Amino acid sequence: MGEKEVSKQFLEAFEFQGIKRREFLKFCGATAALLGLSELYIPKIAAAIEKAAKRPPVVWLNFASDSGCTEALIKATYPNAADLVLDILSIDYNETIMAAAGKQSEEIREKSRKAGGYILIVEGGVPTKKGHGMIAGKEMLDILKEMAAPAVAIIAVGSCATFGGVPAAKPNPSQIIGVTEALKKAGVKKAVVNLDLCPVNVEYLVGVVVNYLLLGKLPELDSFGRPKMFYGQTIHDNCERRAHFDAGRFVERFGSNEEALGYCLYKMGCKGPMTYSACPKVQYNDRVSWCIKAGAPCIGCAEHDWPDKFAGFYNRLPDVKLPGIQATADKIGAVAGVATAVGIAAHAIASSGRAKKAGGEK
Amino acid sequence: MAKITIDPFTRIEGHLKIDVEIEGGKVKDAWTSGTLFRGFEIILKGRDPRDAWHLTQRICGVCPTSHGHTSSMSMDDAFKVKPPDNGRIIRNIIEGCQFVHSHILWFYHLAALDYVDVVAALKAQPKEASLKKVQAKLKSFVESGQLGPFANGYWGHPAYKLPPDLNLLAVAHYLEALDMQAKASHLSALFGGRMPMTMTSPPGGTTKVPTVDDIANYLFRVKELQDWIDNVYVPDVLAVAPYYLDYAGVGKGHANFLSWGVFEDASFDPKKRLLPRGAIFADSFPKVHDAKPEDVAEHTSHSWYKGAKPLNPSNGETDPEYTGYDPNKKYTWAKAPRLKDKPMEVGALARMLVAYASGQPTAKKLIDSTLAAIGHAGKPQVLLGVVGRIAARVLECKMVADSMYQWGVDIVENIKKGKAEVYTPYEIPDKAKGIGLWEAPRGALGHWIDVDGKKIKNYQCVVPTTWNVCPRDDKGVRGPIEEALVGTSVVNPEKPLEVLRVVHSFDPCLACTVHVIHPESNRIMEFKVS
Amino acid sequence: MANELKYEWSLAYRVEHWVRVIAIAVLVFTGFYIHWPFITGGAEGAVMSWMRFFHSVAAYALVLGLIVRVYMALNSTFDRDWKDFSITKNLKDLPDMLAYYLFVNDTHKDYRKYNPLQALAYLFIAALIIFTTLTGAALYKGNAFGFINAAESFRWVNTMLGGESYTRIWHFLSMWVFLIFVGVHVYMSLLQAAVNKDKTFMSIFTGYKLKKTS
Repeated sequence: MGEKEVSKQFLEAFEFQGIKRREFLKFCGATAALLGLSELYIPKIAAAIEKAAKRPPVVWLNFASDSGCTEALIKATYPNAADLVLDILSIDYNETIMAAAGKQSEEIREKSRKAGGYILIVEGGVPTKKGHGMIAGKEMLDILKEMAAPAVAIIAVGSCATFGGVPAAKPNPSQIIGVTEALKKAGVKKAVVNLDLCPVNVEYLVGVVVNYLLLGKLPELDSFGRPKMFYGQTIHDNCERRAHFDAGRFVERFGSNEEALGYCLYKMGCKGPMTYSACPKVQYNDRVSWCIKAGAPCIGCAEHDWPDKFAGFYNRLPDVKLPGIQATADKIGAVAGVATAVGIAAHAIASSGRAKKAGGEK
Repeated sequence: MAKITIDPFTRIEGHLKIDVEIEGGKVKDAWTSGTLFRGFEIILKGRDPRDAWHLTQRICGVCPTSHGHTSSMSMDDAFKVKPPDNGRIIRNIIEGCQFVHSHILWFYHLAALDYVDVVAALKAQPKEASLKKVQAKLKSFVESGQLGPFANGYWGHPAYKLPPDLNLLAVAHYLEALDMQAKASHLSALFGGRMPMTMTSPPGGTTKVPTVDDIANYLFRVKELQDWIDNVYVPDVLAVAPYYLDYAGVGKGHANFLSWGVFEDASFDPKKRLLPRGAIFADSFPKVHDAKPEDVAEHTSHSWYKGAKPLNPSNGETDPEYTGYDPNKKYTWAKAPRLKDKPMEVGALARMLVAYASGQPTAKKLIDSTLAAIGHAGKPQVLLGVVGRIAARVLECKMVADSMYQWGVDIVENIKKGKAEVYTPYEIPDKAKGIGLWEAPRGALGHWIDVDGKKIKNYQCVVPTTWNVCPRDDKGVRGPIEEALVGTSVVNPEKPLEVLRVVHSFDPCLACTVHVIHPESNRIMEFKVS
Repeated sequence: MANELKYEWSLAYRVEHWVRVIAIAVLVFTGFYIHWPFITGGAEGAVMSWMRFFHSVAAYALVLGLIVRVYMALNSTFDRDWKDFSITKNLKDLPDMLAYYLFVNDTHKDYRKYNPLQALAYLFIAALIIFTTLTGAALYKGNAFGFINAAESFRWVNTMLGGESYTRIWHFLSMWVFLIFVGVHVYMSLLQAAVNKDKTFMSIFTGYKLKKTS
């Protein structure tokens, strides 16, 4: 079967779902933009996807999560969920969408494990307390360990899988850890791509997968294992409301006139200045909107310290506690300032006393 | 006597294990077990209450919005603040989008594969070009040997009864519905910022100030959903239903129903919500009784928690203690909530029955015409069971989508009248208690909050699937899913398709269920696996 | 025992001091604004941009000022005073000075230029400038000096402090330490001038101070 024929078949496959060539190229264009590639790459991306005669198998494991990332996955648009399922990937194991159940689904997982060569996508953190997370009578940590070794690439999606997320927030009742840490604990040495966000932005996930299909390797990662192409700049730097920040125009109350005018949410507790993610560019849900566009201050869910070091979400500075200190920074500053003033005043009075005494002696 | 364990139970949210005992080809007894514990209530303790509505959305990625809204409502109650009218409507809209999204997803992607034999669709002989294409595609997909999510299903099981053509049509709509559920979610993002995990409904109203452009965009998109529901979803259910009418009596369960009510009315009266508050008990069916939060008690005698007495969520008392899986004693992380000591079924069927029996005109019209169409006019009791749950979901989906259009118009009317406010400011009181009672797509949802020193002192959630998937209570009375399973025929214990149908009809969501822990003891126990 | 005017501070020392004063004043004011924008911008203008601009410029001034001061300490033609900052020597003399300030003794030893408390406080301030600069750099999303990618190069600061949230709080708290230092510093120089009548306070303007001749 020649390359042309493959291509033709592929396009037919797309057309069968009412996707025309034009739309397919639009998808490739969106992907190229996402990857920061020039338009010259569009045909290359198309070819890379078309050439993959065997759809790359994917095993999607669901641990201590709320399936929000699976939900995010099926809301993909370019390509949409049907494309992902039928044409681009072979999603062999995902408990939320697979037809098989119980014994039959375990058989599939076992078959995948033996065959190897799949992309392992992990959603949810790994509970390390015995009995707190079990699938088919096995601890989730053990399942991760046995499924990680034969995988060609491991992608942790969402803040739970990357660094534990909300269920791992203080006091972390089930002692949940992220995939990177879990693999370290299990003694598996493998690079993990961390797509931190709650829930994952499906365009990031598709971007990483297409990048992998196109170049045969994983994208460049930052020190937290996050692809630099998505986590290279802060939300603040690319924010559509940045001009208002620079101009000093701020929302002081939700639903106010300033809000209607799209002023900056800095004073409402927006964590955009300390959150690295391409949210303002990529947005969510077919790029309909995103948090700040809808008037909601960023809560910092793309960061590895989220949520503990970003809560309270509506305070300008997070309510984090310095070791042993229960007050906020503003309170500490005010108390220290007052203490100094009192100290100086006391010393000045005492000094004048000494001066008088010295004068008296003379 | 055969015993089947289905673990993992797939095509639901979360981690569920089902044990059934089969005798003479029928389920004799059943046990449901939640197998993941996350402990949200401990995590919430000591935090800024306004963070709770974000954090509790992470209880469930399928119905985050419902948790967020319920949480904000518990604070609205505690802080004595009322959202302005447009704030109320925008919350309804975001919630409505989630209902539509969830019901489409449930029918086509979670439940349909129990009724539609994907492989049998290859035998269809379609005449329409579009269906031919779908079939050709399906053929090449099957021949590729990479069946992906369709691998290892119970294909060819005798309980699959649809003719090949209908199977093929359903497969085609399975794919189309993937797009539609995504579109419903994009619609919630329009007002919610993103979906899952909407961002705009803090206590006091909403942060989203709607523009005329938003509304125009919204109405256009709602129309598309309405059309699809009317022309595809409803006809699909009607086309499939005749082949599974023998399922009408299956999975009846206790037939007690609870709805806290959802979609706030301008009067803020829960009995006037689009889907009103109320409870129906089997012994006085279909009379609607008052549903009060004080009547809720949670039992723990069969769950992995210490503590003996059943208690109301506002003063619950429980210590987690994993003692190994033992169906005779303790076998799940889910507690057993009861209303007036009765196990209650929650979900679309409960809401639609309460609405119907309360005389909600749209619900009455929809259900009456459906009953008439299947030849049981005036007999809502035929809806008790698997088929009724499917029917209730599609009818509710239509009802909500139709209302959503009106809500968009209402916003514009309010703006015209100068009532454009969407948010009421407030001060967090030093001490306050509040309750939020609302509905997720899969049933009654309640959040209890206790604020002390402007921080959360105590937080409790009683979530839909806990009602449905709960274990036996102190008197040994089964939970609704367990009860519904009893008596179900199982042709082939190796492929317990019938069990899947009954359980899926409740649309369980386990992430919601298993998060409970006592807020005061705050003790993390050492767990041993026996 | 007579007093005579001594040229204590050369022009370079005085300029360096006042550059630092202005820098700290600007940094504190703009810092407070960035912490909580208390002036709201109108349709025109770029309040926050200017605040951040001046904050950065003042930060450069503060850092470069410190570098110049260190150079002067080591290599000034007027007064190479690095030996006055010996930590061991100053710590040894510290009890004597503290006893004086806390009214235990009425006199203290004579010190060349800085008393031990002063020398140690100035050393501490140098360290504080370095700390504040590092935390500031870790929060800065631009290119320091035009070529150092601050966010990347100084991420280790965030890691060490336990995350960017903590960096922010430490950066903010270190400003308060500056404020406290300034308060005490001005008080001490006024006190010295009042008690000893040696024009200490004026010396940083004129350069001349009364010294005992023995």
